[in-house]
Amino acid sequence: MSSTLHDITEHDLHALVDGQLPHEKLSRINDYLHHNPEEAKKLASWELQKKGLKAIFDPVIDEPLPKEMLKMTKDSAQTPVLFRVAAVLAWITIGTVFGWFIHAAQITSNYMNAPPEYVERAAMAHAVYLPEVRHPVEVDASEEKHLTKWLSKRLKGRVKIPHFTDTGFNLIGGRLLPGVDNAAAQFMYENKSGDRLTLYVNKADNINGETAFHYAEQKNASLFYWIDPEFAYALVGQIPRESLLKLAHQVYQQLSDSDPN
Amino acid sequence: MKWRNRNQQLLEQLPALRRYARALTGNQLSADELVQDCYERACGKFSLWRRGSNLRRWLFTIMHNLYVNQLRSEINKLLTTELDEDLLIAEAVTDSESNSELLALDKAMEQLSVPQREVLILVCLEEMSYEEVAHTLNIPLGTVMSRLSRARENLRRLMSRPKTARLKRIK
Repeated sequence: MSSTLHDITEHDLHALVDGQLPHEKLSRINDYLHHNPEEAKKLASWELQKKGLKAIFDPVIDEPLPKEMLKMTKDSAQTPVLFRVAAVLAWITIGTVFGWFIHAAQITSNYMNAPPEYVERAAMAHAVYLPEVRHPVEVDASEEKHLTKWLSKRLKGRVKIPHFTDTGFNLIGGRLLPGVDNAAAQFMYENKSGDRLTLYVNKADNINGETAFHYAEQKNASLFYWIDPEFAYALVGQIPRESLLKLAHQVYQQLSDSDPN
Repeated sequence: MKWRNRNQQLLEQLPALRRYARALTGNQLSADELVQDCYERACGKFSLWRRGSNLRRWLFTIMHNLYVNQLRSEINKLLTTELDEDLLIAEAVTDSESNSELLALDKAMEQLSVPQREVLILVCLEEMSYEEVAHTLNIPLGTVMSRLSRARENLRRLMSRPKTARLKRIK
């Protein structure tokens, strides 16, 4: 064995496999392996091991994280104290406002027990189209302009479509339905976990009622309904009453924010 | 925001931690438990991590310590010392005849002692430099090299053994 090969150690063999060998040793180690077939064999099998380990374990990297793990990372996201205080104050304010709302709704419901007929239709429409996978709507949200125009024409009024994107509910689309004395419209919304909301809109001409929010439970769903001079609305969903009220409030706000022309 | 930053940073490391834990324990359930423990520990100790230093290496050190402690408290004898590392190898895989090469490798990995397996994983899967491994596991560089060497040679032995047994003639 030539003397230049003496400085090749086992460390160098590992370093070659692991891409950590200094450049200047590369040609010498080639010589060395050429003269030591047993060592070359050993090296080849180490390389195979490394490839094999990658083949076995690298796919773990692309696996989606298990649910518990994602939950854990959310749980531990601690908000700084200042934020928490701000959030509590915000919730107290919101709570007071909604408390007043609920209170008003309850007062009116005391002498207006039976919901108007359209409310039942709204609950029915929600129940019928809730499980629809392929055809939950007639006109898709991608054609929102067309949907608004078409339904405004059929309902004989200015139909507006509210949005709750910030709460996770996105518009899927809408459809035309037979309503009380007139045509009615149904808009459907869905969030990522597949919960759906229906906003049912009926012309208010022959519907008696008040502007206040009313709560009802029908066909396994909760709903808030209210009536403005032009349309009667019902927001239906299988979500907790408080969450639904918040959404109903958003709808109300967006619809009354309309420009007057 | 600082807290968001921390969570995001830790979240990004989870896939690599899972791979390491899977290769270490050879079992998805205990691997993910280990990752969760490690995550919680890291959250609690996050202020101890020096900003700018390698976060992944810091997390791997935590996981290594957790795992070693876990083994130590559970089954003391599993944590073989450097001396009898090779004794464990004596009970080699015998029935991997029908297994594919990868399955045999997977099985052979389980036969390695924990210290050898750890070094091998960090070098082969994490592609850490030998110095980084020494730093992560808090052992001298020489120990890294001797464990790596023994791990590779033991795997080679374990993998080649069943092959000779397969040379049976049917006639």
